[in-house]
Amino acid sequence: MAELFAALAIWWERRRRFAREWKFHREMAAADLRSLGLSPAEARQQARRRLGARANHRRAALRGIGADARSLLELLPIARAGRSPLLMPLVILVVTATVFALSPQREQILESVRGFLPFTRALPVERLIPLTPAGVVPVGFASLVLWTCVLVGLARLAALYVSLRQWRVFAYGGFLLAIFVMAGAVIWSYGLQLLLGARWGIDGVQGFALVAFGFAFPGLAFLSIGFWFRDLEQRCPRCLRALGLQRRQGKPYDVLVEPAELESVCLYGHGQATASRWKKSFACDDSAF
Amino acid sequence: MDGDKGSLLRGTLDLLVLRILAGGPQHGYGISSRLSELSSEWLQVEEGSLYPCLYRMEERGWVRSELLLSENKRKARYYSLTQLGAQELLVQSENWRQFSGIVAKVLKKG
Repeated sequence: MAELFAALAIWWERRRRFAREWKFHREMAAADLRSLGLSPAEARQQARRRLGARANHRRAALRGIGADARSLLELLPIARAGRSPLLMPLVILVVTATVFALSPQREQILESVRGFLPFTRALPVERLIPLTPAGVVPVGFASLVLWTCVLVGLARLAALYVSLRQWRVFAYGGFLLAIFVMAGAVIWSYGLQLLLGARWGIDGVQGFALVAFGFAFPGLAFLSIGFWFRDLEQRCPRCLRALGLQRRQGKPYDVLVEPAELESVCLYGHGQATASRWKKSFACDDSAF
Repeated sequence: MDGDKGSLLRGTLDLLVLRILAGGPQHGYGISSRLSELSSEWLQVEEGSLYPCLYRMEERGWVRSELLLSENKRKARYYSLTQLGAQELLVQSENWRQFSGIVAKVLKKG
C-alpha cells in the first residue's frame, strides 16, 4: 500500500510540474506575440488558442512522462491483476466451466472431449440431426484444427525457449496451450450440441449455421494461438507478469532505421531486452545491464 | 516536428537539446525557440516531444533542473547540462558526425 501511495505521489507531482511548465510556455508565447504588436488581451487569446489547439501535444507529453489518466490506472491494483500470469488461465478455465455448466448433456461433452485425445476410440456418431443423445458429437474436423494448433504452438514454444533459455516461459506456455486445447474441445462440443441437438423448423438455416460454425472455429482457434504467442512474448521470463514501461534505446544512427534495443521491465525490475538479432532476459541487479 | 522531418529526426532530439543546453541553462520554451531559431524555423519541436525528452534526460542524469526567475520575472524550470550530459553530448555528436559522413559518402558514390 505504501508503494502505491508513493507511486501516486510521484504521478501527482509530475502532473503539477508539467502544468506549471505548460502555463509558463503559454505565457512566454503570449509575451512573444505582444512583442509583435498585439495587445496583452489579444496576445493571451492567441497564445491560448495556439496552445489550446495543441491539446494532442499536451496529451502526448503527459503520456510520455507517465502523468496521464492511463498511467494512473496502470498504478492501481486492478491494473496489476491484469498483468498477473494467473489471469489468462483463470479466464479460460472460467469460460470453459461456464460452457460446461450450461450444457444440457454434460456426459456427452465429456465423451466428446475424450474423442479429441489421440489413440482413443470415441463412441460412434449414430445420428447427426437430431444428435444421438448418448453418443458423441463429430470431432474429426475440430480435432484436426486443435492438433494443428498444438503442433504450431509447440514449434513456437521451442523457438522461444531457444532464444530465451527460460524454462518458466516454456512451462507456462505449455500449460496455457493445454488448457486452450481443452477449452476449444469443450466449446466445439457445446456448439455442436446446440446446433445438432434438435431439428430446426426452418429449412436451410441449420445447415448454414453449421457451416458458419465450421468456418469460425478454425479462424478463432488460429487467432487465439496468435494471441497466446504474442502474450507469451510480452511476459517477463522470470516472474511471468506482463512487461511494460517499454524503452527504445540506441544511438541516433541506429534509431533512424529501427531501435537498436527494445527494453521492457516488469513491476519487479526483471525484464527483457531485444536487439535486432538477439533477446536476453535480465534481473534488476544484473550488472550486464 | 512534423511529417517527414519527424521520421528523419527521430532519435536526434536528445542530441539537439543537449547541444542547446551546452550554451547555458534554458527553460522548455527557450529550448524550443532556440532550436527553431538555429534551424531557421525548419525544426519545430512539439511540446509533446520536448518535455518527455527533458524528463527522460533528467532521469538519466544528463540534465538537472531548478526553479529560477525568468526574464519576465516569472518562476520557470531551467534545465542545465550535468557532467554526465556533457560527456553524452560528446559521444552523441561524434556518432552523428560519423553517421552523417557515411550517409553523405553513400549518396555521393551512389
